[in-house]
Amino acid sequence: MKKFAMACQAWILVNMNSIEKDECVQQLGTSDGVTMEDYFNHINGMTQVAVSDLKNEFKKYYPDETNWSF
Amino acid sequence: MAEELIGAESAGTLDDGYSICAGTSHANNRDAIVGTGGSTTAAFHYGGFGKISFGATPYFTYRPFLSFDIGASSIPSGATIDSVKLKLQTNVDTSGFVTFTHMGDFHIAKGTHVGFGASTYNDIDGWVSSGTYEGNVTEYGEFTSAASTAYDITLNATAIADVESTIDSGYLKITLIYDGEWVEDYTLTGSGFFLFNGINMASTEDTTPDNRPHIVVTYTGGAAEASGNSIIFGTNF
Repeated sequence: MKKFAMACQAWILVNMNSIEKDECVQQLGTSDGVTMEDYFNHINGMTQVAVSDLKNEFKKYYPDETNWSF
Repeated sequence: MAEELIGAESAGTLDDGYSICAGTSHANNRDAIVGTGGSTTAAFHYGGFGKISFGATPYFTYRPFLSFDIGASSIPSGATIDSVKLKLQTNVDTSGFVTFTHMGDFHIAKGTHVGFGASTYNDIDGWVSSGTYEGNVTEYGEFTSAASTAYDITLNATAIADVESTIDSGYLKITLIYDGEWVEDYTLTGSGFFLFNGINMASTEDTTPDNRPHIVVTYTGGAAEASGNSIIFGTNF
């Protein structure tokens, strides 16, 4: 089960697109070992906006991209 | 002359943090009686104005709060404080979904906070619910915000006096107020889903100890330095 969870996490990490990686670097200082959940939790702390709303707004902000990891 | 390095409180009721007020305008936020949230656990502190393209209260005002335990320091009773410097480290500018620009002047004000919560937002000595802060809020100094900068800000005679009065027991308490609040100019620069102007600085949770907020106090005299003597067989030489 632990191996499965690690494999899932690795899949998520390698499947962040270039926009997500760049946003993670900008806000979290790195795109290694982090997920977009970490990113949205970080923005939630700054803005008090619910993570689900932030995810929707993030996709709207980049309308040409469809391959998201979240 | 001796020197004492004192880090900001990193736990307990006076843990460092930043307070948020979300509202319908920055002008309303400035005069709000209480804030709407904040954090003592983040690795950074925000100060300044934010605006988000979402929701009914899209305007944010941020104020960091710091406390320095003078009473627990090694500064001896009766010492004369010669200088107090505030050391801060800012983070980088960002762009994209969140656009963060370090800019504007900041006023280092005297804090009156006794804990951290929604009411901390206005725990500022001399805070007024309307009208100018100039001449009302007790000010320790000023600096201009810039990204990726290590600050070493000399505080004024008021801060020196407050440190001297708390040598035996007490704290130097500080908050940072954005100049936009001080002069009531609510202009925001830049674009992004979440736009932010002001300061993003390291907190006591920053992984690099040197980046965390500190004050450096220089002093002369006092019990330890003044004695300079040795006690041998009960006699003070």
